Amino acid sequence: MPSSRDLWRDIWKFATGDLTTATLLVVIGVILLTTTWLPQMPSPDPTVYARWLAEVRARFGPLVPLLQSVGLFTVSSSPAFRAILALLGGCFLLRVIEGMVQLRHGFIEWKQEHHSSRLRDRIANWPWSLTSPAAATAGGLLLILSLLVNCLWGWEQGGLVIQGGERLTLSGTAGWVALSDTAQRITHSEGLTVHVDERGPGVLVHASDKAGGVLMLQQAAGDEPVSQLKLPLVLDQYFAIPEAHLIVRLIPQHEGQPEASSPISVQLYRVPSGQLAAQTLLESDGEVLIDGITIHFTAFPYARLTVVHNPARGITLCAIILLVAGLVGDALCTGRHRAGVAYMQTG
Amino acid sequence: MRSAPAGIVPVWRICKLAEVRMSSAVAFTGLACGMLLAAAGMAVWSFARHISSFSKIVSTIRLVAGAGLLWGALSAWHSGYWSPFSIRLLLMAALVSLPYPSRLSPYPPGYVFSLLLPASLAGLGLYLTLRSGLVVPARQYIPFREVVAAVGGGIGAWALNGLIAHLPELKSEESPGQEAPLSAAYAMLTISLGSLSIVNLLQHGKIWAGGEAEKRLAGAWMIWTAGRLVSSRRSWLHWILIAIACIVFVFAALS
Repeated sequence: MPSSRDLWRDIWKFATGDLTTATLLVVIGVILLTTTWLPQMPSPDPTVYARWLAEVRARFGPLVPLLQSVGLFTVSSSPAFRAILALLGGCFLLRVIEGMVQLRHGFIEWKQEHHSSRLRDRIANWPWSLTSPAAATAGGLLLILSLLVNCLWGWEQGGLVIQGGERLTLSGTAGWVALSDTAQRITHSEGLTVHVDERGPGVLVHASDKAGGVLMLQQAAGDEPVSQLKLPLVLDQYFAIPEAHLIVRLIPQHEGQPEASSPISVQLYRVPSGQLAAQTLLESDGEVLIDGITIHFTAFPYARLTVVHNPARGITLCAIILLVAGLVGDALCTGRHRAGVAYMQTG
Repeated sequence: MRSAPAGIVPVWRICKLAEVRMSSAVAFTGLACGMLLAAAGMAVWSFARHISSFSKIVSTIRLVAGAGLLWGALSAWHSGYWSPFSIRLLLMAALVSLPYPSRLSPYPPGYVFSLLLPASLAGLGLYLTLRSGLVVPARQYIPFREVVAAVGGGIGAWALNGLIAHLPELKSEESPGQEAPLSAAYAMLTISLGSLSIVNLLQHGKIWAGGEAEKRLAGAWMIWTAGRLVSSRRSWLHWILIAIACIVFVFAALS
């Protein structure tokens, strides 16, 4: 009758076994590959969700409701996937403990055998075949822990559009991001990583009549008229000058990726006829004159940002370094050992 | 006749320079393809006639062709007349054409295939470029993950090439001759993906920048790692997992 001590030993052997870890790695790898074919449901932001749904419907057509009910579009955020990651983390923890015990025995042996050898010999005879796997497993464990910390306390805000000279306070946080006038330099509060996804043209607009009086501008029908408008040209922008019966359309002109210095096409339409009254191309600051009215444009480029707060950034960096060093060391040890065996076999 | 002001390069000369660079990329790629085809022919001849002295010559030709393809890839990127996809094909072909170290004789059909594969990749890149024309501005910034994907695809294809070239050896329980090059390939892939993770962490604040190519690379690397873990007892599973990982790396680079 198997004793409880044998049972725990068997469980330990199973949990720290290579086959168990390999199986979990294969399952996670297959899930990652599956999610490249099945686009995962994005953040609850309505615009992003609508775009995702359109893409998924175009690709999978009538299968979408079935795939959604099975949960294939939420695999990466599902409890099952997180449970597999947790299991892998548990295996790594046990392997680290086992590795430490083995390394300790190896260290004691090494110390006994080489305590009086030269430094070079001591380094050469260090139990590297035990150190590398232990380092790799410790790196893997730290990586999973850092993912957990980031999941619990980290956050990300994407698609933030900010124009030159502006400072944006991030909603729900104490963080802020600011952009220089030329949209080249970004400053931000501590603990954030800011990535510029895109830079493009933008303008500051104000209009004046013949006498130099300020004309009010209105971006939408129900909006309060303002004396100046700041517009990032992510897409075409429109605004009206009610006193002059004009609608102005601004179109960014660029092929492929927009740039801060991309030219802007300015079209003026008469209201209510809709007739095109004037058209010009702006490459930097400029003015448009029509019917005694001057519309002033000052370049204020925009930047589209993704802001990330990852409290586990330092741990992640250490984990990656440890993991890579351990795996590369193990690969070199294995390769050298097997090459020696091959040499002896073939002469 | 007025001469151009000092320091200003005439437009015709800039176009000429671009044409010369495009021509050098085409020339190097074409030459490398020819060398690989010639090496394949020599390999077939040496296997048919049992001439072992050709193997070193074939290996040298592979190395020179690989260097030519690498130079062609750099010239192509510099000239601006090649699409990123074609440049990726050239880079992969350069890595695949590196000789696969092994003490045992290779499996003849597999070895010939391993010479035809880089020639096909480079030929495809050349064909796509000559058919489509200007696609990307010269010396445009190419994201690091694209370079890592191309390197991963090249190493995956090189390793797969080597496995095919030594197929009978894999069928036996003990095949230690394959472990050294595969371990080296795994080490290179781990370093590449580790570097990509660190770059993403510094630039984006997370190890994942969100691209599909990165998921494929990570998935393939996990499968290869799993294959290395089961090597001691189940050699058939070991080779299958590594072969699957190599195929996924190639697919990630080409998609």
